[in-house]
Amino acid sequence: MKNRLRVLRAERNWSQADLADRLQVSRQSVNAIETGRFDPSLPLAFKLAKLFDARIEEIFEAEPERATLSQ
Amino acid sequence: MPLFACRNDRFSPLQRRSMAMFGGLMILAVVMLAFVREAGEYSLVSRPLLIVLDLLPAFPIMLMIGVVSRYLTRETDEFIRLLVMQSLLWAIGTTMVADIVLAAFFDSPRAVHFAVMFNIDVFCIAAMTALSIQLRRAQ
Repeated sequence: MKNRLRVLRAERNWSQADLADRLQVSRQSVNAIETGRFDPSLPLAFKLAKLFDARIEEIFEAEPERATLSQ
Repeated sequence: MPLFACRNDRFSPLQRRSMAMFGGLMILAVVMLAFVREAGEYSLVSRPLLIVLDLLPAFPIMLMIGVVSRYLTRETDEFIRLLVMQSLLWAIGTTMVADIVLAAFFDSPRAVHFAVMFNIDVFCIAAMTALSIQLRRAQ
């Protein structure tokens, strides 16, 4: 899943540690979400949406589905 | 290692407390196993008492499982929880592999206590190593 977390964070001039403090998670978690190595749970996604005053789909974007052999 | 790590400020109070408890219980289990092994080796106690003593090291090990499950229940950071779970799986796999290697060299029933001590050490070292590597990769 792609996300705009890095952009939204940069707009507010927050470091990963600042965002981690606001979300009450570790900095590693923020880094893992930003780099797409970890997809957050729904409660954490809602927390992010509330923090950035945006809808979840404005922050996260589903990867386009891969074409199957039959297509 | 967990006892040293529990003084590190990078860890949350829950993580420090859990590691201190886990490390303490691990040491207790190893000491109990060593004592039981020596008691059996040199017939220091009667046979019925030896059976009771043989069962005692199971309690710190069960408490260790309790400490880990309590930690996983209370850890609010889902990514760290995932890393801990993955590290535990790596540790279980490593312990099984180590047991297979150990079985190739020892086939005596007297090696059972040694094998359990060995398992605890291998499990803890593998879990901490896997967690350190995963945390470093997540930097």
